[in-house]
Amino acid sequence: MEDPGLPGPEIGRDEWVARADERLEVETGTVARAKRAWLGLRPPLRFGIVVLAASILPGVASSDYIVRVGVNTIIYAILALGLNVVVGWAGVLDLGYVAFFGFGAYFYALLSSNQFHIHWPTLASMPVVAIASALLGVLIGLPSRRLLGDYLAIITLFFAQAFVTLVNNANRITPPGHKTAVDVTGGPNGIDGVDDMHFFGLHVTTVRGYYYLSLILFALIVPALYRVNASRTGRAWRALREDPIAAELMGMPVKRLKLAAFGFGAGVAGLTGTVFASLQVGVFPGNFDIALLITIYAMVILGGAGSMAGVVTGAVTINVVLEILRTPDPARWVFYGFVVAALLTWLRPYTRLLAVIAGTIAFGIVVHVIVNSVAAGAARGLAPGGGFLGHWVDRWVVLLTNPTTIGNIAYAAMLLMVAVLTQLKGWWRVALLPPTLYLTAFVWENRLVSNPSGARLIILGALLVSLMNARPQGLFGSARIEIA
Amino acid sequence: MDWAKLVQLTVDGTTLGAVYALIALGYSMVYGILKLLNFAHGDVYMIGAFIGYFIYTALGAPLTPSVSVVALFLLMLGAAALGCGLLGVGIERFGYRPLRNAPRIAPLITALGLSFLIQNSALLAFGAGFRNYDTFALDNGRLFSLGIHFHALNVSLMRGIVILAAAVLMVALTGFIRWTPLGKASRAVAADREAAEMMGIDADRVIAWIFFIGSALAGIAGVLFGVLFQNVFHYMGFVAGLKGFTAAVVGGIGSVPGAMLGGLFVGLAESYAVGYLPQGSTFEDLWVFFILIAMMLLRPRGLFGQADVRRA
Amino acid sequence: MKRPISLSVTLALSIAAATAVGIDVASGATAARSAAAGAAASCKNGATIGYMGPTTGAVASIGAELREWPLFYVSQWNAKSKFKINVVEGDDQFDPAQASTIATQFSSNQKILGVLGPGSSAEVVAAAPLFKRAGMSYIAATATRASLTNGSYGHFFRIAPPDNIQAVTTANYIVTFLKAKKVAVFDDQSAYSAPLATSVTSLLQAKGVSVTHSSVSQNATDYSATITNIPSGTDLVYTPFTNPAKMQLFGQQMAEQGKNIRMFAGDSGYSTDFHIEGAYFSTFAPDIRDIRADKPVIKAYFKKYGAKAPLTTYGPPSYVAAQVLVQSVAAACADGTATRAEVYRDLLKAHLATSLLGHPIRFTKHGDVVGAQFVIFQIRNGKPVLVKK
Repeated sequence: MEDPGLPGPEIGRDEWVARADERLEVETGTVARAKRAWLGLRPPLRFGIVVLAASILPGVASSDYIVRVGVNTIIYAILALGLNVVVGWAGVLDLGYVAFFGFGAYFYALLSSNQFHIHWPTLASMPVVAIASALLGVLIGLPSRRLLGDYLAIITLFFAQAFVTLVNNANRITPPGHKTAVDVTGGPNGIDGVDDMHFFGLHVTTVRGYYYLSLILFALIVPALYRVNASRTGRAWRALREDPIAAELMGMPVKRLKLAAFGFGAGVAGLTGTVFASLQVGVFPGNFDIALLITIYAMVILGGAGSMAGVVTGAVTINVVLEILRTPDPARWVFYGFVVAALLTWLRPYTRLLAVIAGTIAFGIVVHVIVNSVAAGAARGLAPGGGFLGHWVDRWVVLLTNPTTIGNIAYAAMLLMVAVLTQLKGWWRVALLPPTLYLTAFVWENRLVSNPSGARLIILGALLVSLMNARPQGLFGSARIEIA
Repeated sequence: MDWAKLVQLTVDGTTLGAVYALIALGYSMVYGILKLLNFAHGDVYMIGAFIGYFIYTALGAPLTPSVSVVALFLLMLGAAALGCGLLGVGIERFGYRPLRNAPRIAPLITALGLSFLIQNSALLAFGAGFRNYDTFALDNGRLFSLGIHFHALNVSLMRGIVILAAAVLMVALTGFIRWTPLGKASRAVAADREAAEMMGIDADRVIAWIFFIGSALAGIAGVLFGVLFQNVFHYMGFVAGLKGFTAAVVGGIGSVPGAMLGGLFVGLAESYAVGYLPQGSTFEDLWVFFILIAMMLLRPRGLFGQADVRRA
Repeated sequence: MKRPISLSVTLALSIAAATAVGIDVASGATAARSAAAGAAASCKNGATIGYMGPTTGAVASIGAELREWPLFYVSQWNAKSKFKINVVEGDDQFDPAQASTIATQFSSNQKILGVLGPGSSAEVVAAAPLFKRAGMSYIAATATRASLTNGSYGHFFRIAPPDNIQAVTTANYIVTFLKAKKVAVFDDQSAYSAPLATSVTSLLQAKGVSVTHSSVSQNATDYSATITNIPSGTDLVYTPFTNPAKMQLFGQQMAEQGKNIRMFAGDSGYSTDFHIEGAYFSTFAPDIRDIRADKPVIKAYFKKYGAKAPLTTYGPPSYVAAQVLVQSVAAACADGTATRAEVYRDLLKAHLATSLLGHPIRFTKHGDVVGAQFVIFQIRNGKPVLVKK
């Protein structure tokens, strides 16, 4: 964890030199010792422990829903790992990644459903889909050879849009030589009735079955990626990411490397698509939209682009948090818990922290009392979801009966205040923190907590922006040196 | 040869192109000066359309406007320009300035995040429902019934207004870039930031002004879109932004006249494609994509752009 | 230097996991059978049902109406009955993947005996496999895709008539009453619009009408170029878009180009966003404000939710769905316990002599309401007027 006393890594500064002092001192404390013990284990053992721990989940989970969340998490984790190859290792910004995921899902659905009455065995269709996706990735990457990263990003974004449009309309294609139109992708209805995955006669039908299936896939993909990272190609990608011009000067086939990264990432995404298609027993065009892209990017960036452990952690964190956000009461705990945790990490010394928390509570009580005496009719809302925390929130946050307009204004004000706060230092920052925190709680309770889909997307966008500004290397990535 | 249809499509394409050109200008100017693709630009355009809408309804339009139509339009355009300009400056100040020296990927991802954030904030604040300017009802529909109506050819007054407004702005911008000190300073900063700073130009201020102008133009484009195409919704910036970006690239990113011509090109191409190709309207989204790909493959620097030294 | 993971470790893990899968698959079959339909919930004083719909997300305005009307019914029921109904809500955000997850959530909650929703056909398809496995009955108010009641979607019921009936009603009206000879059909590539447009096109063609069928993109914001393609001599334009504001723009741009052609829309036409004078639209429920027997219910609804609460064509079917489900659950719970299979049985037997929609409710064995019809409105002086029952 970062010690706020020392200056954190700044973009443009030499990270390695700046942290020289940190490397000399030995961290003490239980957390540091646990971290050292953990890092002391060999990577395969660490990985094995993680997988073993994960495999216990279906046994202890009280409902299928939790296992389902687990499956979703593993699928996202694998997707994030694939994106990590492209963005984290090779440094290529691929904004069309979800289209490869969709391609894999649709192709598998075409091979294993009643759409064309083809029912390939899973052991045949999965590799075929993965290889086809990889080839598609290379194909899409071809025009990018000559392009700067920015243009490539937009082209891939367009490709994602094009994919959705094509898939949405490919239910009325008349191939040359045929008289009637062929329904290839089911159009906006998608393809349903995708086969279960089956291996050697064993059918995977339950959610728990899919959990284990995706866990096995995860357990196979991670070592493979590990090997790739340690190989010459992996090193070449790292060089390409750091400085493409220098890499080319060193004689590396930059274009081929970029294509390889694209293809690899696309292959992983396509493979994951097959599991997704059979899990959902169907594929729909609406499954592969920009929101999913942003979610996966958030996972990669949060965990740390370039670090596999980080990316998986990011996936778990984000998916679990998003699921918790569905119901107001648990969501509330997560929200306030997160705020307190953030304060704990960044606000030292503890006296200052306590002052801010006390100040926020006091500020809130004062505002609540004032509003109640002045305009009691306006503030008669109830904390959605109730619960223990909701009870206290009722007394502390001003909950409007008609939160829409004022809530929107407060939202804009909150964004402004947060932006301003980042520019202030010292006492001004401490003084403005309580009102800002209260405003955030106000916006949360009045507008966000009962609107999970809106809140989820806003949080993801805000996460990307703030991570890039404050800690671009995410949780576990390594800060990059940039010679400006 | 259906001349009426051709002229109709040309006029329609030109109005579309005018809107795209205004958006493309913002992209081009920002890229020229910062080498940054501001994904959030399309969403600034969307906010402009909403600002215009709120002013519009606050003044009672379309059924009972409390000011004249001309005043109404000027107020909407002015408010959108100001609001979006400030928003653009804010985005630059808090989103991009800290990342001036960061690896290229960082501001791109920030831009993506900002775009998403603005879009969904608008969704949260304004709801998912479409807002409709309904300028067809304004002034008894005169804005649309006046104009050229000659057999199958119909060019309404409103389209003329939009094209004229866009043209005036583009001329003003060209003049600004060429003759004013700030315009010259921005060209200097775009050419070589360090050298410009050594010449005493405050690059930060210039950049802020460029963001202001580009975003103000996007805001105006939003209002123009609204009064012509009626429907305003939180998602409109995403697709319009992509098309505006294509226009900027086609014209040569970094070049102001290129953005204008690129916008016109994209608007016309889209119009003709939908009008003449079989199933043209079904695949409307894709034609612009193909144009972009074609341009990238054949002439990556666009019509007026300069060949970029950095290739890969 | 990190060493790559040894092959043996990976193999060992995979074997362990494979064994687990094997055990699970073997037990999964039995578990699935026992979880489905068999588990009885005790319900002497009350029961739980689920509601899922697009409460937030792209169609939140419809979602709000779809949600408030059944909750309103439940609150009315709970006020008058000692048997209390508790509703667990799920927001599928108009996304099939979310619908799938929520369906898992509901299925694994043994207290939930039946589900209201989802709101649209794509979500039904996504949720169906899970509800089927769990033996859960689910009633969608307005999912109109025709294939949903072909028997492969589990215990699915719906209140609105299927789209194939809408196609027949529309085509008949166009030919018989509007006497159109040349029709241009545009769909918006959505799951609702495309099949409906295709059906209407072929029905019209079978009756000798000349039809051109094309589609517009969902992202299209300007239809001027598309409108130039409308062949001359067209006397009707059929545009069953999902978004009324877009249909409004389409109509206005047609007028702008001097093409004053009659418009015909689908059931999204019942909206304040769509007010092209003289346009027709078909929808699955009449305006319940015209049904005298419904007035007290409507009054109570607006009293509870305020004068601006939504009431178009989505609320009443959702209300009726709740009515049927709650009464069936109450019937199944008459003996103190109920299983999902009992609720299904009672739904098949359910019979409401009258309903908010003005017609009785009884289900076919595949889940459609017997005798449900589409009605046709025309917009006169800015307001929809019923022209055909």
